[in-house]
Amino acid sequence: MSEVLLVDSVLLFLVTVCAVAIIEVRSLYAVAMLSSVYSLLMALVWTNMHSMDVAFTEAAVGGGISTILLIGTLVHTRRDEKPAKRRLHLPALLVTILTGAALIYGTFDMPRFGDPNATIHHYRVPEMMSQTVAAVSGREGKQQPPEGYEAPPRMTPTAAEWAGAIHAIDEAEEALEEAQHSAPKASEGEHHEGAEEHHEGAHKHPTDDFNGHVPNSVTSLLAAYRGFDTMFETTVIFTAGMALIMLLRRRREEGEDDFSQRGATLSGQVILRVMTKMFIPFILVFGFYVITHGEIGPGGGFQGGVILATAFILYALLYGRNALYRIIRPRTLEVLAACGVLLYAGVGVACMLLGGNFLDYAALNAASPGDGEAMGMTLVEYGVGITVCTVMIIIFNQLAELPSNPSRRRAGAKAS
Amino acid sequence: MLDIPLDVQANLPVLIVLTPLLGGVIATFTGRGVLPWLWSTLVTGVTFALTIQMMMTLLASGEPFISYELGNWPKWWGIEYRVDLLNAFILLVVAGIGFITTVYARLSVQDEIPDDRHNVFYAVWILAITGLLGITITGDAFNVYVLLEISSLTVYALIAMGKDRDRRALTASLRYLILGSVGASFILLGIGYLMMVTGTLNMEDMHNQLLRMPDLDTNRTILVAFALLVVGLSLKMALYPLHMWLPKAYTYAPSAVSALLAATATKVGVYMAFRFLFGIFGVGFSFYAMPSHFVLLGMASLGIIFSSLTAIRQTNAKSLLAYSSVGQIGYIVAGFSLANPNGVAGSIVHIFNHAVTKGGMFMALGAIAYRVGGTDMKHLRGLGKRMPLTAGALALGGLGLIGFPLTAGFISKWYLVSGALDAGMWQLAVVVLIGSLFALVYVWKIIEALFFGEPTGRTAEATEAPLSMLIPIWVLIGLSIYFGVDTSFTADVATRAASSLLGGLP
Repeated sequence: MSEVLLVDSVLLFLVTVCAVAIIEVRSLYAVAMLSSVYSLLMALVWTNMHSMDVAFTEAAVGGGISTILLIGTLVHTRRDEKPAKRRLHLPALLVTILTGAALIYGTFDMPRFGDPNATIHHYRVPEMMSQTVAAVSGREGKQQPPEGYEAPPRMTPTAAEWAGAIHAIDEAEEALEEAQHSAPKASEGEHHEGAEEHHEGAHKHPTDDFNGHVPNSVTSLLAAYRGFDTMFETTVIFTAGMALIMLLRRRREEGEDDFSQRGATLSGQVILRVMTKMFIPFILVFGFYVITHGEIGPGGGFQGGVILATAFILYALLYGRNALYRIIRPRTLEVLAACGVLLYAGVGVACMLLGGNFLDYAALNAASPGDGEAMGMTLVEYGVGITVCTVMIIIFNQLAELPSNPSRRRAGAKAS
Repeated sequence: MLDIPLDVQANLPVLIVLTPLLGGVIATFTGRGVLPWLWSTLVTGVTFALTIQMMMTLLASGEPFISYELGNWPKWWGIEYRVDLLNAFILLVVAGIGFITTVYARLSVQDEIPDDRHNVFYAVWILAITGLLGITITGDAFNVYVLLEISSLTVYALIAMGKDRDRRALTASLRYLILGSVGASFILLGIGYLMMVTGTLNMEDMHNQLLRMPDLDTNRTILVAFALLVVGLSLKMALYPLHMWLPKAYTYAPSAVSALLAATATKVGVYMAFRFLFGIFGVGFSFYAMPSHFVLLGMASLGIIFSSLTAIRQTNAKSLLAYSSVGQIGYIVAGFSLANPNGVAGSIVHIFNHAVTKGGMFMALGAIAYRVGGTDMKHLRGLGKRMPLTAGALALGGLGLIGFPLTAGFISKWYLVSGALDAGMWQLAVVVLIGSLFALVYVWKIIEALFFGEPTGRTAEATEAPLSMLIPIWVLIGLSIYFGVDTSFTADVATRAASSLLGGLP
């Protein structure tokens, strides 16, 4: 039994226990906490599968903010689930078992986990990893690499080969740099240096090697290749915020302010107050770091946005929502949430206005398409971050918004 | 005219989705009053114009499809928009119905939705249309799922907005949310399994990869992917017996929302089934290697008969029409599961015919709810005298549901029965006949209440519906009559789209 399998078995056991506990426990508060534990365990499973970005998202969203939101929901409900008569619903059990069996049956012909010969690894992906965004051998635009184009080795089965490949890349880079030093003013025309072409006024990095700009291939997939999907994922978040506003917001008369709601604050608690004030700046800096550096390490707009939101929510938890509204008004949040999506789509429209297809970031910088790609990706990540952050705060606000009926409000206050 | 350096023609496919997306997001800025509605009408109108332009471009080009690569990435790695005759047609239906229901919605929304959130309501409304258009236009399997998320989320919220009139809207929406999420997860799992074995997400590429597999018929991962997708899609298109979410959702949703959903949402589900069963898996696998003929035809036949029977027993006209919708989905599914030209053409043409008929009828019921305050049979009694134009539209729409000659419903059933006879399935022809008889009974229930009852209560003081409602209602009902008489456009498009589907082109 390999170590990976051992860790996975332990995690599977814990996840199962957690899932059963979530179903069985009647205290909804405990359910919220257990679901947080469940998400953290799943984050470990993803880590074990080497998908760091997924693990990061699961930890930030599942383990972090959705726990707060679930607890926020408790304001509207009771603390315990109503005791229900337990009957065995035979058809439901049968359907569940059948579905489970089908899912397991489906795994029999799947490629083994991590199998380098699986279709997914050799059908389209290797060519994708060597995509270029700029002119290669005089041909403009995004394209399949031409004949004889040597893609940098990315997936090699043995460690020795990996080491060799990395060494080769290092050598190639050194050679490139030397070549640049010796001939800073490269003349027009074709010349192949690792099949990369350089424009005048040489950039630090090769202009046409897209993957050279974004070391985290997950980010290049999400923000560039499938940037269109990500735009709609951002819209999903936006829609969720708008749907909650539509469904949960108290009826307001024109010009009514948002400060009408009272609620207990924890600002009398010295330890909490001091610790929160110390934490918030670090949370904010980390949030911006995660958004900006999604291209290098795990992270990006989604995770960073969620982290930023937790700073605001923490503040609101401690000082009450009125204090939060003094920093950022609900109307401002709504406008910002829309602006995030508009920024994302706006980058795409700018690409169209500059003559490219929608979201063809390369059009943003005609002189150096690779830099255009990097700029576009950074901008859309900020768009995602703004929308995610503000929508999370909106969701928190809407969940905490009590119905105007006074008896319900008292019941809610007791529950919180 | 401003000189915008935007090449509309070259970017036409993406603009069809981008216009309502931006329009929907910007709609949150429109504040109160009539502005949100005006903006929405403008946005959906422009979108509709773009889909017309798309259809004309496609027909003029003579190409089998128009492809658009998003982000300019070669389609195998990025996302491709691919418009052929089939989805150009469905786009036209969705955008057209979206525009007409938006025009209709103003008074109905004013009446049923609190006035401090009209801007948000219309934003979500336009985003729902965006989602449906996005599902229809794309050539990428995962992009389908992302847009499905948008359309589902918005629709759950829109249905729940019926809560101010009837609290049961909330449970109806929750039920749809749970079942819809199960369906969407199945679809996602199916797409994931397919990607695992094919190594691609592009529909055409996926199809070719599947055909290249030597063990296509026996590969257990593919079999399970197929099963997951069929179940998930059946849930989304409300195929009997996975229709349980639909009747209550349509009944308690705000009137305008019911009209939009009944005319478009399940139809886009059927379109997804076309793309997955015919496009990705291919006719040979879906209908010959797999026992889909029997399963889908069986479910569709049961749906036609049982949901029509249930419709007869309803005392609320909206819920009657909702059950009738389940039956109509049965016809559509029966048509394409025959997998022959006439059957598939009947299915496609019925998507259009049922959309205009049911959309018009739900809007007429909305007008009644606006004037009388409800859509129970007791509210309808005697309305033929008080609101003759609305009642007349309802009655004509009802004839379309039965499949009366010279209505659009007749054309679809004609194709369907021909398809059944082509396939030697006379039993299906009998089912269609029985379904039409039941439809006659439930439509007669409405007609009897409208024209042969005595008005009481609020009904007695009701006046004819306002013109801003009557015009959209009669446009749709008029279309359902027009396309029952002159079938050249719909039938031609449907026949051509059917033959390209059966040819296996994704």
